[in-house]
Amino acid sequence: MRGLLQIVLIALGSFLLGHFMDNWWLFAVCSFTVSLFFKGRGFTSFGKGFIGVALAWGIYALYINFKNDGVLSDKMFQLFTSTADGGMGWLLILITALIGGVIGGIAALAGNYGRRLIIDDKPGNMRSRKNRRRKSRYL
Amino acid sequence: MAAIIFFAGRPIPPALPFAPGKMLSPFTGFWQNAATSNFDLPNEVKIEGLKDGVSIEYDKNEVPHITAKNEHDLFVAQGYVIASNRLWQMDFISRAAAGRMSEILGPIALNFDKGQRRQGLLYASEQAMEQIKIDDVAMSTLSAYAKGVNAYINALSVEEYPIEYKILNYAPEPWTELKTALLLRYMGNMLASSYDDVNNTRFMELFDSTLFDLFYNTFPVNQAPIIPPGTEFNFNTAVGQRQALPKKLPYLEEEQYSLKPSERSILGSNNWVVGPEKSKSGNAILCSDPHLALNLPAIWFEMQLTAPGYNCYGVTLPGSPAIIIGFNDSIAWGVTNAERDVTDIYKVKFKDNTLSEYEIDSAWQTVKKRVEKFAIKDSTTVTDTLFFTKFGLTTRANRTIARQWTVLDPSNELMAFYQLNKSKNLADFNKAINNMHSPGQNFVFASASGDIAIKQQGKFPINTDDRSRFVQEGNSSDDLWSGFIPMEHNPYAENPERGYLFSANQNPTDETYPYKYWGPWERFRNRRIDDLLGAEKQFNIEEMQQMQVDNYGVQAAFALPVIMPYLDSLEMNEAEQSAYDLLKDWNYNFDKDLKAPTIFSQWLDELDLLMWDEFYINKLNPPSVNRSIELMLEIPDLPMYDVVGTKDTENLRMVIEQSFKKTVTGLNEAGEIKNWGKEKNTTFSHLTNRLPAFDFANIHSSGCRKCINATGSSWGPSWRMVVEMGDEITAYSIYGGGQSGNPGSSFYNNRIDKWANGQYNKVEFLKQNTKVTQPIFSQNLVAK
Repeated sequence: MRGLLQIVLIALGSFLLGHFMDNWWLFAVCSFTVSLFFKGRGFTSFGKGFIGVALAWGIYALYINFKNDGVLSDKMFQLFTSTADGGMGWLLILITALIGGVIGGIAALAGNYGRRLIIDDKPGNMRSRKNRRRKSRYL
Repeated sequence: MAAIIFFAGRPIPPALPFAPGKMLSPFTGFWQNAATSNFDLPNEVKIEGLKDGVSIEYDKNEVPHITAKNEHDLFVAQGYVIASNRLWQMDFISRAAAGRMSEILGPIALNFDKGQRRQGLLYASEQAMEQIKIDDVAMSTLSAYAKGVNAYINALSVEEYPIEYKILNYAPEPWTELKTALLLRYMGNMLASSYDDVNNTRFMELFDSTLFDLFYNTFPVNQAPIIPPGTEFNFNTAVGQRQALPKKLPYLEEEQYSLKPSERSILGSNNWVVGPEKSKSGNAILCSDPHLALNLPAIWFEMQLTAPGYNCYGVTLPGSPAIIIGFNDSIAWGVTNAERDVTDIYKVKFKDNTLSEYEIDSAWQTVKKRVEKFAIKDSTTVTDTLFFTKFGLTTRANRTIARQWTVLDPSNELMAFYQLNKSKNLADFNKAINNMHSPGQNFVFASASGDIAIKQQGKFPINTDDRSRFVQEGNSSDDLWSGFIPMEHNPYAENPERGYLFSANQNPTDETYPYKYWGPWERFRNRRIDDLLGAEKQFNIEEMQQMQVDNYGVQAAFALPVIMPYLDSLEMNEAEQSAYDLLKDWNYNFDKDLKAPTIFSQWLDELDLLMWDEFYINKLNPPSVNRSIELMLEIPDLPMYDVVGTKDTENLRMVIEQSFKKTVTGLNEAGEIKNWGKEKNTTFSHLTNRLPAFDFANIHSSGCRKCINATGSSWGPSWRMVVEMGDEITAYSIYGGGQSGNPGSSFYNNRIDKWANGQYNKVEFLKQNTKVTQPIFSQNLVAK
């Protein structure tokens, strides 16, 4: 249940920040911040950040593409891939969700490690020291 | 994490300068440019400085009709409407005209920028502004327009930037009066930059004046000039007598020779008008179709402007106030390019390598210098110097070859259009177009009261003799232009007995015109128009529409009967025989579903290359196609037909046979011979020419450059308009492209199919105090 809440918060936050603010990368800050408040394994946290942002980006892109009859996404697919194939714009919705998801996931992962660093890091907690060593390897 | 976001937000150099994460984000990136309704615009807009409310209604052809309570508000609204549909385009063109592309594209655009500045376009626009500033009407019109454009820009958030800004990774900048001046100079450069001086001088170095006369210097025959032959020119002038050429022309170095402009002109346009006696309804009918590059966003924007004392419909160039081609309830007008040579080239003698002083009348005169700065993106600022002499503008890159060019002279063309928009009759029309200096245009006119007229209008230098067709030694003030042809002496005709007038870039007059002039005249379309309009019949709107998309190729009808008989004794293989039969049975229509036009066009090109190889080897412009065919008839044994570097001495028959065989082999190598429409493969390319995803390609269309329907592969009738004047105005129009400049809108290219098929939209022309019947979108502008 708490996991679902984390996803919903990231998705909702990403949507609202994207919609009302100018800086495109604020969703990553949101994913990071939300993940500070949720305990869990790094991998699951990444998954939740991924799903949260992918949902916000994917559904919004899907909605725009539907209203636009795919006029622009088809052209943009051609532009990105330098091909002349039409009708491939739907693929960009998946790519949009994927890219947003990966960035959101990494932000959530960073939030998760951040939590361990700030909140879970108590003296004598072996697990946390191990994590700190692991983290330093990753960064 | 930070690194990932950092890189996802960085440009990928150099091919795609945009940031992938930012670009893909549905909140800031390209998705935001996908139109989710007809017009993603607010219904009410507050604009500072507006005096009263303005209503904007888009009709079912996506044409906005602006109704304002005064002219100031009218032009604010026009600026706003055009910016909201075409912001990127107008910004991009004005930056290109100013030679400022390297500011957004980086070092790769520096050479382009230098070329633009060296033409003097930015300098000339700044000069023109000095003249515009003292004209209250012109200045207030330009300022109001800029206010409207900037109101739109200022309300834009980053995610709303047109998509090209996102792809090229830059931001819109405020619009200024200077930018409009730049746009008009840019058109002047596009339409009035042709000259043959360098080519001709080079020709004289290699050949002689007899051949010069033979190839280049014949007055066009079998032509239908713009001013009906027999029209009397009731003025005299002392100039215009043919004098002998100077014995010695300046010698040109190889680098100087490369300064010649493009070869055979591809520019063109048609316009014509029939008076009451030639019209079935008894109302004058006016037609105009300017031929320009086929680009997206389209070069034209269609709209109606209404305010007290102002009610005009037509097309405008994004970036310019007023209507450029159109009509009001009293008059209609259309334009074609005059093609007149308004350039003279001089070899200036400088005192030393600093280019600070030059010789004139045996004295040293100081050079006026101007330093052009290029603030290259992600790089240092580079400078280049322009040198101004009485003989014109030169640069170090031009190797002291100076160019005298009327396009650089201060003028106020905007007032020509502003006054045309408000003209009520023939007298107003003539007064209005006198403001048009560059580019020279053929204005055709019709009024609701049944008057028709045509005038070749522009600022044209007086050429006292043939010397100005060549590069001249610039050291004596005798060699300077002695003045300009008075506007009232420009070729003009009104209400002719025959009941029709037209222009198609042909020579403006017959040989009785007292002034000398030259230019790369189009020799074919005028004959077809004259044949059709000269027929013993009257016309209605539908017939005029059919005429605008007429595909008859006068060039083919002239050339084929001359060259085909030379194949009579040729032994042909199967492929050659079948190509021959296709040509033999052809009705000279450039129909998209025929193969004969494909064979003919290719053959003519091959023949030209073989026949005039001496020209191509020496980088000279070959004679016009029309002149080539005349020569085949006049001098079938001209030694120049020989192909240089072959053992044989080729005669005309041999080059015709060889070019035919080569054509058929070439066309069959690629498989089956393509139908004309497929061969031509008309494409509207995006203004950048670098984003094929935003092109509209593979259009199979009829017509050819030498047909009235002059649709080529990347060039063609950019706007077609047919207007019947009378108590009620009936008008039809179409242009290739769409009203929106946004590739993410269905209105970006929705008119192309209709345009390619020769169909029209019926114009909804609103009288004062009337409303659009079925608006698809409405907007109100209110004072802040």
